Amino acid sequence: MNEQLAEAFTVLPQYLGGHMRLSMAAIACAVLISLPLGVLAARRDWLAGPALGVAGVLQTIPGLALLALMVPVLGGTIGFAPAFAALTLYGVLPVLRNTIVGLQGVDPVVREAARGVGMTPRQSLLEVELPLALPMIVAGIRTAVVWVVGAAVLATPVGAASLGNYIFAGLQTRNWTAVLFGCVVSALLAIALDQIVRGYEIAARRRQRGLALVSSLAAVALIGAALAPGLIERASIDRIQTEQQAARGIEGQRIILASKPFTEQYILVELIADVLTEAGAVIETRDGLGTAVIFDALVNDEVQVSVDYSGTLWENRLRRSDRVGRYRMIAEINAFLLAEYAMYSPGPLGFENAYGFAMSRAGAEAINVDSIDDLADRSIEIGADTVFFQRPEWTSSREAYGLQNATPRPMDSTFMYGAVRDGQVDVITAYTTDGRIAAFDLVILDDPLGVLPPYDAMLLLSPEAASNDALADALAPLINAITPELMREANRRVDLDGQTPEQAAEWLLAELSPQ
Amino acid sequence: MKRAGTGSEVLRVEGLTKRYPGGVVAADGVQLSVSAGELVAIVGESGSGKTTTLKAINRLVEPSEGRILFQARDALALDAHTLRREIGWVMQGDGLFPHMTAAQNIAVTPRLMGWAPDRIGARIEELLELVRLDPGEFRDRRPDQMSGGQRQRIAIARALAAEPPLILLDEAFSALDPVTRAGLQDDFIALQARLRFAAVMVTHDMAEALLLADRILVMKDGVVLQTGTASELVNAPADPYVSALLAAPAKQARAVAALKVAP
Repeated sequence: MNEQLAEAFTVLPQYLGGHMRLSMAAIACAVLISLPLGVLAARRDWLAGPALGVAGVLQTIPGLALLALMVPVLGGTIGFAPAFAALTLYGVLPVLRNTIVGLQGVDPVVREAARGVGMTPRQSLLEVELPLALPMIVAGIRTAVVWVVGAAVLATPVGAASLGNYIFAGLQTRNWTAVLFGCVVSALLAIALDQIVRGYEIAARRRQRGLALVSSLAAVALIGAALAPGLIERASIDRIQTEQQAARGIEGQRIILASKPFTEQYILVELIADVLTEAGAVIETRDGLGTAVIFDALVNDEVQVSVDYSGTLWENRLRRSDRVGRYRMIAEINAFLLAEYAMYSPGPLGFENAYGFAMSRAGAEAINVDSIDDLADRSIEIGADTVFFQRPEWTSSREAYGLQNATPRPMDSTFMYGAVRDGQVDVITAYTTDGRIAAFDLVILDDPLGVLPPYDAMLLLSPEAASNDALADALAPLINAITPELMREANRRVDLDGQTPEQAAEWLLAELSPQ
Repeated sequence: MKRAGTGSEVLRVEGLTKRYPGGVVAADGVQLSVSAGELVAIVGESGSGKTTTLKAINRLVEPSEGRILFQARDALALDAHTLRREIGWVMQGDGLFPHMTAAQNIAVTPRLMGWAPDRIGARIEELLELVRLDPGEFRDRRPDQMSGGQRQRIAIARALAAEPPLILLDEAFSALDPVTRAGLQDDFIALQARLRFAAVMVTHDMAEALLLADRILVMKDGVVLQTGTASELVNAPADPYVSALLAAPAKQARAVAALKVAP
C-alpha cells in the first residue's frame, strides 16, 4: 500500500503538471472565446439564442465522448491538442452564458445614464456594463474552472498526461490506491482553483483591489508549483535531444510508447521501455489509449511503438472475417501494414490473448457445459468488455452457436472475472492471458467451429520507427519470447498480487534473459 | 417665477415630430425655446410626449422631423455623444453608476471631454460644495452608501460637471419624499440663478412646474396645448385640460389655507 502511494507521488509532478497545463490553457482559451462572443450576443438577440444553444449541446455530449471525438476531428492527432480543444469547448458555456446574462442584467436606467452623459457604445460597454457584469462573469469562469479541471482527467484516453492516468491505469491494474490518489488530487486541485476564483468573484462584487491581488498571488503560486517540475523535466529532455540529435540509432532518441487500457498492455509497455532504455533511448509513454487512437497515432508517427493483436487488426483494419490460420494471418497483416501505411511489425511476441467464453467451473458443471454450442438457446447473461458486443466476433458467435437468448452485459473488463466467479453473470468473454482465469478457477469453453479468431500479440512500429534498424535490433529479444504462461503469470502478479506493472515487467524481463 | 431677465437663447426646437414604426406619433410639431438662466417645464401625463420631447433634445431619441438648434448649431448634424457631453442630464431615480464613487460619477463627463486630472479634481470639490455635500465625507461614497436625496444631489452635480449651458431634467425630483424634494428644488433654483444655465424640466406635477418654471408647456397626446408663464396659464387657460391640471394644486392650496386658524 505504502509502496503504491510512494509510486504515485513520484509521477505526481508529471501528471499534475500535465493536468494544469491542459486545464489552464483550455480555460484561458474558453474565456477568450466566450467574452467577445458574449458581448456580441448580449447586444444581438439573434445571436444569443444560437450561441447558447450550440454551447449547451456541446455541454450535453459526455466528456469522454467529446474528447475522443476531437481525435478524428483533428485528423488523428493525439495528446495535448484534442484534449485542449474538447476542454475549451467544455469551458465555453458557463462563461458565455454568464457574460450574456450579466450584461443583459445591467439596469436599463444605468445604460441610459451612460448614453445620457455622452458615452459612446464602446465606452458604455467598457466603463459601465462590463464592470457591472463582472461578478457574474467571474462566477461563470469559476464554474468553467471546476468543470474543466474535473473533465481533464478524461484526457488520459486521448494521450495527454493528466491526473486521469492514476484513475484509468489504477482501475485496470486493480491499484485502488492510485485510483483514490488521482481522485483526491484532482478534487483538491478543483477546490483550490475554485477558492482562488471565488476570491476574484468576491473582490469583483465588493470592488476590493486587495483581495483580487491576494487571489492573483495564490493563483500564480499554485500554477507555478504545479508546472515548475514538469517544465524542468521538459527542459532536461530537450537538452538530451539537442545534445544527441546527431547520434545514429536509438542512443538518445526520444521514443513514444502507447498502451491500451488493460493490465497486459501496461506491463508490455514497461517491458519495452526497459529494453529500449537499456539500449539508450529516452522513453515517453502514453497510457490507456483507445485501439483506434493508438493506430492513428502510429500512422502519424506520434507514437513509435505499441502492441496490438492480430485478430483486432484483421477485423478493424483489413476488414476481414474469414479464417486463414494463425501464421498466415500474421503474414497478411504484415503485408497490409507495409503496403497501406509503411508500418512494420518486427514479429509476434509469442503468446495469444484471444477472447474465450469462460464460466466458473462450478457453474459450467452445474449445467453441464464445456463448449460454446452447449449454450445454444439458453437464457444466460454474458459479461464482456465494452467493445466486444460491437465486434464481428459477437455477431458470428451468436449466429454460429445460437446465442440469441443471451443477454449482453457490457462492463469494464477488470470487473468481469469477479462477476462470473460470483455468479452475477453466467459467462464472460475472458482474455485468455488473464491471470484471474486460473486464480478464480474459470474454465474456457471450446470453440469447435473456430469462430473466435487468433489474437497474437504483435509489435507495431510507426513508419519512421520502421526504418530504424537499431530500434528493431533492440526489440529483437522480445520476438516470440513470451509464452502464454509467462504473460498470464505477469498479469496475475498485477491483478491479484497488487504488484505494479513496472514490477511485473521487471520480473518478466528477468525470465526472458538467458540464465 | 421671480428671477432677473433671461439671457441669450440656448436652445430652439422647431416642429419636432417623433413617429414610431406602427404609426404612433409621440410628439407632433413641438415648438420650444430656452434662454440662459431660464427654466422651462414640460407638463403632462405619461404618454403625453413630454419625455420623448426632452430625449429628442439630446438625441436619446432621434426625431423624425423638425429642427433642433443648440447654441445656434444644428444639433441633428452633431455627433450624438458629443452633443450629450455638452448638455447636462438628470434622470428619474438618479441613474448614478453603482460601481463608481460620488467623485467618479461626477468626473465622468469631464473625463470623456479630456479634462486634465487636477482640473477634474478641483471641479469635483467645487460641485460637492455647490450641491451642499461635504466633499470629505461624500467624495468616496458609492451610491448604495447614500440616501435618495444625496444621490439626486450627486446626479445634479454630475450633470453640471462639464459646465454645460443646458440642463435637461427628466422627473428629476419625482422619486423623492416631499421635504427632501422641496429642499432640493430650492437648491436647484439657487444654483441656476448663480450659474445661469438654461434648463428644460419634464414633470407630471403641475404644482412643481408652477413653483419652479419661468415658462410652462402643457402637452397631451404629443401636442403642445399651451405655452406660457404660470400666471398666463392660471389666468387664461387655453384648454379645459389645462384648467383640469391647474385644479389640483389650487384645491390643495385652498384645503391647507382653510385649516389655518387665525392668530
